[in-house]
Amino acid sequence: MSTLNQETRSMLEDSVNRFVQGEYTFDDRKHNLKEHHGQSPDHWHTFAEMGWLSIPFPEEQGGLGGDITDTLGVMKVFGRGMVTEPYLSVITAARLLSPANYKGEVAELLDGILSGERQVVFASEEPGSRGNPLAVALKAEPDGTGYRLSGEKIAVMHSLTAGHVLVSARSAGGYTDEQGIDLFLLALDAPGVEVTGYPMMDGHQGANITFNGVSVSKTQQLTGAGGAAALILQASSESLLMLASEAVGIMETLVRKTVAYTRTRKQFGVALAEFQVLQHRMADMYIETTSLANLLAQTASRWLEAEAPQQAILASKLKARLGPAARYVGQQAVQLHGGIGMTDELDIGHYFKRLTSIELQLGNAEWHRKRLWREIAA
Amino acid sequence: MSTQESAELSRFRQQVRDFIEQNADEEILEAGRKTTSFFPPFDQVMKWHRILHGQGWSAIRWPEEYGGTGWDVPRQLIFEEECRRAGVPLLLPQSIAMVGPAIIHYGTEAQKKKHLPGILAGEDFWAQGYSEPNAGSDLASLKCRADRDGDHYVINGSKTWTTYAHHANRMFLLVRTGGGAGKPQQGISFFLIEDLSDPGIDIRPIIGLDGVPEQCDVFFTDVRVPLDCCLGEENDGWSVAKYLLEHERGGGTSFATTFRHELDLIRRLAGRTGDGFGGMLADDPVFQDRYIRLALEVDTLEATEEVFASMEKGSPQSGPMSSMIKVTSMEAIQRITELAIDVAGSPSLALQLAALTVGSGVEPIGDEDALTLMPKYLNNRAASIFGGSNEIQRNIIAKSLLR
Repeated sequence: MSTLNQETRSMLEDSVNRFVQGEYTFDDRKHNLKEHHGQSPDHWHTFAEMGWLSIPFPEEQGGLGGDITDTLGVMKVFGRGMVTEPYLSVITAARLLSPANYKGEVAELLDGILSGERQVVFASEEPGSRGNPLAVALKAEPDGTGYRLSGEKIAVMHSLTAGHVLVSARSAGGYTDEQGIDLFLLALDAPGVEVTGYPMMDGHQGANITFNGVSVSKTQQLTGAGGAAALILQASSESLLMLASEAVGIMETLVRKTVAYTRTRKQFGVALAEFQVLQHRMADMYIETTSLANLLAQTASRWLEAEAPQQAILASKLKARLGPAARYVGQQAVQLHGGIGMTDELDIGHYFKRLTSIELQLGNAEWHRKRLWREIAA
Repeated sequence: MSTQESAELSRFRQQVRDFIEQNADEEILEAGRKTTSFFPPFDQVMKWHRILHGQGWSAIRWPEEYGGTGWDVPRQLIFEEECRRAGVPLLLPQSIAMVGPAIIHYGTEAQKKKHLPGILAGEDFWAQGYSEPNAGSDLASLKCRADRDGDHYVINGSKTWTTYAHHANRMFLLVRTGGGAGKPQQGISFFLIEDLSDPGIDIRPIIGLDGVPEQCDVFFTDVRVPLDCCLGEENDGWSVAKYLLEHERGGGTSFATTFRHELDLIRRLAGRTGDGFGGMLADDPVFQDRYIRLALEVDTLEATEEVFASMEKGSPQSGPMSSMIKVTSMEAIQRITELAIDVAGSPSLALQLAALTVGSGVEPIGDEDALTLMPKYLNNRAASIFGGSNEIQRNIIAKSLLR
């Protein structure tokens, strides 16, 4: 695990901790959601300045030369702070751009991303794709020297502040085939691109994007014709890894806050923590949280030596285990706080909502269990 | 499963595989196949223990200076994976994984010299004398007494649920040596009993739900033992007991490796068992989902075992983590054995004690793989009760959270 040296890692860890504790309190977050839709330009500037945006990119592209596991510490702390800025989305898209030929528009975009001036997002999910990044129905039909894109992407995260979108499209092959998937880079204001943005229940920004016969040229195609599946699978696996780390950060926070609350809240003349039934509930919250943290640690330690198909399996295991763990811990944190846990005023419910959102993103537990069975049966 | 294995580890794996293949005879393999609890058939598992000792492999987690292998964690896991693959019985935990580490940690030089070689060689088998008729989960309320009489202690009282005491020639024992003042944990001592043939010791096997004796009642009447049988300080046996319990709960062995083997067996069985609608159970989405959920529990358990193995025992984190392993591993095996009988269906109902006995020559009725499933299900109901019930483990975790 980790390509970066210990010194760089602890420097990053210190800076992200300082940021979340100092500038991202629950009140700050509320203000950020109200004023900036949760995507403050000042915060983003800090992200760039602190080097967080440069972590998993090669030094020759201006990055820190780390790998995706080096972002997990940042994601965990972002979980604690419920950070709504598009860190995961932009890192994922930039990782898709990074292996492409580093020149022209791609180089310009990557430089802009790392310096915090530009944002790109990846549009993958479609109605009915359930988290399978290879279930691509959006059509890329040959048209003169280029293609025409038609179809719909849903739950595209954080396109609000992005200028460009990477979109997966199918030029050949059957619905879930590996062969025949392409990846195109285009401006979000290109003719025929229709964006319906919406705030999500967890404070993040989402959008559905319709492509009405959008013309793209071959220069906008990131890989050889029909050969983007490997790159897309890798991006999906890496996003799952990052999401799991955010979830662990949230779940550890919920266990800590729930334990603290039950020590102070009194009913029937004693602290809630005196009741054995609640003690056991919290023991189970600890077990679920620690189980996921241990699985994440083991996954991260095996990540770099795993080939892409193995990474996909590791990521599915993590997400399949995350689902029930996150649901249990989130629900029980609300339950043990009682009525106050149901309010918008307290942070607990917001952690619960973010966990719920994480559960459903990039394929829920059931979908990943099915994927794992197919792997065993194959 | 690790994703890739270095050439060095692959050679090690091959070496282990070859050794097992050349040394595990049919009787030992039969005992492996007919194991229905955490405690394999006694005679054959001890025979295998002595064969492993001949190779210097009986204590894979002990330090080298005490006769352990000095293997790192990946090698320990490979060894266990290969043992599972070959189907040899896993060594009994009481001596090697429980009292052994306690003697290494707390023993005097004389105690180490006296006891460790017999444990290592498989010449001695130690039973665990902890629970009493009125001290189960509340272990500290134990009443079995030892009073000083000159240069001896005199033991009176009883123990219960003492696994394989009817096979044992040694016993480690928690007894009350102190007065009544203070917390119940005070005044308890940890004894190493060398001679179970004393006429004052009466061992009576208890027949379990699976129809065979595994646990015993043990009665002590005026049993004289020398003063130097005390491990650690007199009246401070609770510290020793807790240290040992952490080893017991945290698993001396990799549960994940063992459980994965059980899941493989179930999947094969589901592949040749009909679903009642003309298809096979292995193609039933309900079966598949239950199977994958359990496989994930086992993967997660393996990750926790890895974290725990690299943790310093006795640290603030290791206590709750060992309780967590106890809870998650025992709940996993209980659910695995449940899935097994659900897959096997009514053919698992036949009571086949003779066919289950090693060397009986009695052919099993029905599918041979299904022979052990019901005894395993029944036996494993104890998994959430023994070693401190899972409710007690949750108390321990909550206590550490609330500290």
